[in-house]
Amino acid sequence: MARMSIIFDGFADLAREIDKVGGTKHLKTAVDDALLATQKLVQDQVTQASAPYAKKGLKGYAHGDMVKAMVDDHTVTWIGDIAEVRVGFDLQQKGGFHSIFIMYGTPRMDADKKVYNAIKGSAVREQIAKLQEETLRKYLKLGD
Amino acid sequence: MVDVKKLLIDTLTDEFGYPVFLQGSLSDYDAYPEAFFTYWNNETNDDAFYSNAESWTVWNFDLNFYANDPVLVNSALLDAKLALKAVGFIPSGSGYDVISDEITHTGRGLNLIYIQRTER
Repeated sequence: MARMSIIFDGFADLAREIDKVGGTKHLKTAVDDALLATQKLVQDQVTQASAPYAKKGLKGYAHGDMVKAMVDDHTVTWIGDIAEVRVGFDLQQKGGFHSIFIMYGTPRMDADKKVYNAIKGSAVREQIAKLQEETLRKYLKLGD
Repeated sequence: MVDVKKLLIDTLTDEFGYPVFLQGSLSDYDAYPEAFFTYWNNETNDDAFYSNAESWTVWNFDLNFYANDPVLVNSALLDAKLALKAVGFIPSGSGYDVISDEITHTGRGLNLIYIQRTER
């Protein structure tokens, strides 16, 4: 399982603007919204990349349970000023651990970088940064 | 222009003397060496476009070290981090555990970036 936070450059300045518009609660709602959108984006890509592993026996280490162990917890966790969502696979669930084999490979099994890149690739990080900025900018004015 | 994969392999081979393999390239019949490195090129992206021509290429690697000595697993990867930094690689953090196929061996991994200027 990986954790995802706000990653785009210029967040501090935009956060100050959103705070000016609607205060801390408004800013917190904006960040929650951006992170849940981020989680959906990542999990949609993880779902697509890991679909072949729903079938038992593919790649030796995956036995079908990995796909069922995808994170399904739509909670934004705040620790002080840091907010995060969980993405990827829940390693505590049966089969979740197989994702480590799949993403990083072993000396005898090559890595599947489609699954890796769905969570950690530079392309998805660019998409996340764009989505987060777009989502947060909607909070520069108060809703009706 | 620097051959980045060769630079990675040569630096590890020259500095440490352990075998270097592509991740996943050992067969089920190959015995694990006592200690060895593996690598994988995650992605290679062109960046900083100017006049529709890239200015540099960003290489992203996972480097792993496996051994039957857990103390060596930790120390060798950190030594490799320093050696690779000295030749221009940019290591991210101090590593993470990776999984071995053999119960005798444990492993540590490290993500590396190499920024290669594009000659025009």
